[in-house]
Amino acid sequence: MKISVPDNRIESGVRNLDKILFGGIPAGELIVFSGSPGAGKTTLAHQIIFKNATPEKPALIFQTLSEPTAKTLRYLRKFSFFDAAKLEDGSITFIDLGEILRAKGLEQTISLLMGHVKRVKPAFVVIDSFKVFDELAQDREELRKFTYEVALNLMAWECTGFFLGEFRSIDIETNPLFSIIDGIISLRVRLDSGEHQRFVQVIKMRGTDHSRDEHAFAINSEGLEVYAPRLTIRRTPENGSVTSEASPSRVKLGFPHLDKLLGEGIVAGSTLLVSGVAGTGKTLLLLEFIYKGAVECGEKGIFFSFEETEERVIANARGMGWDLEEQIRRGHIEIVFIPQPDIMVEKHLLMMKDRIESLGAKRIAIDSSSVFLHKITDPQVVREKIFQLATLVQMSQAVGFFAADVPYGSHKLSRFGVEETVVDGIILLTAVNNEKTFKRDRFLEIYKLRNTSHANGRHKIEIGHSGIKIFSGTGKPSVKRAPTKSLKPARKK
Amino acid sequence: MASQDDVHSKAVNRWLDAGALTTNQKIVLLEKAIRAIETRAGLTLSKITLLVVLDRVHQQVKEELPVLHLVKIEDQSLRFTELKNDPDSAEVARALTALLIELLRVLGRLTADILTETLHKELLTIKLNDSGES
Repeated sequence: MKISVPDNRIESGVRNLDKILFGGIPAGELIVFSGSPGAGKTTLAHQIIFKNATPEKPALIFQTLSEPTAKTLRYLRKFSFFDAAKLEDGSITFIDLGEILRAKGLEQTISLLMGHVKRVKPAFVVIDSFKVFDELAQDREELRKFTYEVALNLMAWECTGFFLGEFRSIDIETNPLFSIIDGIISLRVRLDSGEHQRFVQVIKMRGTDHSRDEHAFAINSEGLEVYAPRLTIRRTPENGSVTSEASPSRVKLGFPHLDKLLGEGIVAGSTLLVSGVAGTGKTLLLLEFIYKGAVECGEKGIFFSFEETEERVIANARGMGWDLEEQIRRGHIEIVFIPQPDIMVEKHLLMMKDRIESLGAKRIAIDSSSVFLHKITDPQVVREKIFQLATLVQMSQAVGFFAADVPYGSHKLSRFGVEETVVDGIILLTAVNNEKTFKRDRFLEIYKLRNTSHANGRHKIEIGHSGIKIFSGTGKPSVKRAPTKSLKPARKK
Repeated sequence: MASQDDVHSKAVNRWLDAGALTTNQKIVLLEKAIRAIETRAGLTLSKITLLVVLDRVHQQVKEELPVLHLVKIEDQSLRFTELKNDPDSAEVARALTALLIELLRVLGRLTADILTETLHKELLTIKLNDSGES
């Protein structure tokens, strides 16, 4: 959903940044982008400028001593937001202040800088880097005077200014710049859950309320992309949480054995945890849930896999007699494989949201939530992420099945011990060794299903050639199963 | 923003057209008005801020009305001595009108129109002396 940007705000062109700012960058303000080298300050500034600069609202980009213009342009070319025409039509002008700064110092620099401003009358001014002035100033007083004059003049010319610099926390208290500017956006890189992750945080922004949280972001070929699932994945009355309470719309899964156990059906928007130790049939149940949804109920489904490749998932399904490829070809099913080492929770939450929405999925399988969140050590964060995953299901008014790996020998219902408090239901899969047959007997139990009168107790299951068979208690199948048609070999694309 | 900017133009023209003034009288009145607006705005904004605002306004308007090159900024104020010597009084009056409107527009925008009403009221108090002097 695109956020609407009020007239006095500037659309950043950075995905979700305007949401953090509760509606875009306030126009006419002077904003510092602080962060260490490589944190993304220059990319962020250029992304905003290329989005907004026009011949009528031009931008001046002053380079100080940090990077020659030619190098910057070469680096910018790789981004999709880069538009060489904006350099030709006067929308964006680069000015290298390096030489005059070295030769003549701050006093000459301000008159040169303002000469350009008076000539171009820019709507946007970028100074990259402003931190250089700290080093060139003879003393604090000179720095204060220079900073004040720059800020005052840009204010008088109604410029929105972006001052970039490798400022540290201490600078916020001591550098005179920070008593003048209107906003601070901090970019940083740090080790998070075992990987280097970029974070953006709005420390201060006059003229608007804003999120105060740190939000993960990445830099890809489109520039910065902020994930901000706390802001983008939210439960609202519009997507069903209130209206559905009175007379909830219920969903039948399309496999009679399980539907019988689930009573009047699962409330649309619900998420069920499919819990069990390895080998109890979780993946297969998820796969059947997706496949039956498409074939029996005409509901589109998406299967997120973190361990099995798409080819392996298709092959597993073929072994059960399910032609997944045909359903994929028809656009009814999507399998999304994210290799376990590549998982970046915030990034992939946003990707999942996009894929679910673009498919219009009504069934969402995650295999497994335990693997997806395996890098997170804080149970509180796990809980938040499970909630966000469940919110994706709720926002789509779909049904979600999330596999959860229970550690062997434990009495837990989930890997982290918090998932079960967030979801709407739990299907517990268990296995015990049968001392008579020397085989493992498998069982399925509807352990919890909110707002639904469901069957109680364990039910024996068998995994056969056509999926999971569910028996009543430990006896015969609870519902007579229709014979499964034999499948033709999977079609090649 | 254009409609908001029109507010200043309308206010100035209404004020200026209120008395049936000669061109020379208008020049005197406009000069007085700009001086009064400078003074009033300077009470709220600092002198240094006002100076950069005057610089910006002057810079911008003189590009369209070159006669304003004769206006100087001295002692933190606009000086019209040379301008008044220009023989084309109609052009001078037009230039001063544009300068006043732009000054009000920029001050309005920079202060989120907090000063606009005050400055418009101030404008209405500016009148020629009884003698209608220049």
